[in-house]
Amino acid sequence: MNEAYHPIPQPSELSDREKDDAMGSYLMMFASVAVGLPLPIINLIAAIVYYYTNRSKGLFVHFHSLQSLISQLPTTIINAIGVFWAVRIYFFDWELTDNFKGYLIMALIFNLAYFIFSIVGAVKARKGRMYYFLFFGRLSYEAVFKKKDSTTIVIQNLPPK
Amino acid sequence: MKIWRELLILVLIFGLIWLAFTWRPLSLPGTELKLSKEREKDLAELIMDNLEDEYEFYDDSVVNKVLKPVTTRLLDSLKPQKYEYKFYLLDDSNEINAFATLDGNIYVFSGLLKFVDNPEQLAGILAHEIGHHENGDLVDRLMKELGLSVLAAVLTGGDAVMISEISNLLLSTGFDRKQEREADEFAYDLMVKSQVNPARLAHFFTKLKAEEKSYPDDLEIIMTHPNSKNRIEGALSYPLPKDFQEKEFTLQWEMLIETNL
Repeated sequence: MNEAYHPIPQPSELSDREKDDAMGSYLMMFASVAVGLPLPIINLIAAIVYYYTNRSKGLFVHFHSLQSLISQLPTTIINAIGVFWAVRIYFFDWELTDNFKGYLIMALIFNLAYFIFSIVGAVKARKGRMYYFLFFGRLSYEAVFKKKDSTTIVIQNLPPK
Repeated sequence: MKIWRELLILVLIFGLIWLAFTWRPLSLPGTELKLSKEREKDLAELIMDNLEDEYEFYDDSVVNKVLKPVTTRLLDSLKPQKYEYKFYLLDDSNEINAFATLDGNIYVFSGLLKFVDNPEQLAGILAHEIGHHENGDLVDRLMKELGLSVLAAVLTGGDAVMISEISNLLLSTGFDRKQEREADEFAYDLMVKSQVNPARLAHFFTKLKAEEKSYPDDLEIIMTHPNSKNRIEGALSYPLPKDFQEKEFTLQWEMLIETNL
């Protein structure tokens, strides 16, 4: 284990409560997706709220809720662009370009992939396991488990001589 | 670092999927259905029967006087022709519209003839409708929107409700932008070949745009579209051959309309 990182909690060290909260961070998305479909921004807000209320519940929960939050950012942006583009076409161009059709299919695939990965993430989290998404997993790991630079603290305050 | 490599992979997946489906868009089901020539002809007749119930048709003597000079010039410069074109004149002064159905049939409302300033503008509109025929937009649209039920309608000899639905569909201006643009391009080209300046269409669109505001909403107006500005520009900027010279129709247009309609 690298010195610069906090040890990763093992399944046996985790309480059921922690596992549930970690799983909840993924399942949360599906509840809010239904609410926020026309405006993808709503589930983003829900994710941020969930993240801030749960990140203090230990590294394991912190990691999973952060991964869930940042991994939905691109999907949210892709969907928002899609909605914006569709509205634009409806009001101004009235033409379905191949570009837009390609984008829609791509957005569909990304949403599907996000959905599947979230389910897997939720199941793994419930079992007390880590699960790393491509890129987002590593990013979350760095953000949560990396020790803050404690070695560079300059010792200034000393006891009386 | 690994994290950047993973980000790159993710962005690449994003871009590649988009590119792949843009380059080779999925064809929508239903577009593969084909309407044979004979069936198209049958259906065109059924639609005509339906229109005859709904509208008064002017008889051939009027059509020959008013439309024939224009259509003859257009068709003479259109080679080869996909259909044997037939033009009909319907009596409805409130409809500033012309539409194409199937098998080379094109219907013009008397409202349109009264609205246009000159036969050159009419030539432009008819060239546009011919364009829809030549580009196969009508069959395409019918099959896309109604699909199998169209074939069923022909095979069963024309269920009245179905045929009426088909006519209404063709009457409403529901082509997509690409088809409209291509029909416009076709119209400009045919107009130049027929020695009519494409700018005539721009005059028509401009007049239509100005007029649209003063018309009540329930009037059907041809090609009502947010993009009429683009179409005006398109018609005006169409490149003319160097030796192009417009040959005006030798018709006393206003008198012709007044006496016949």
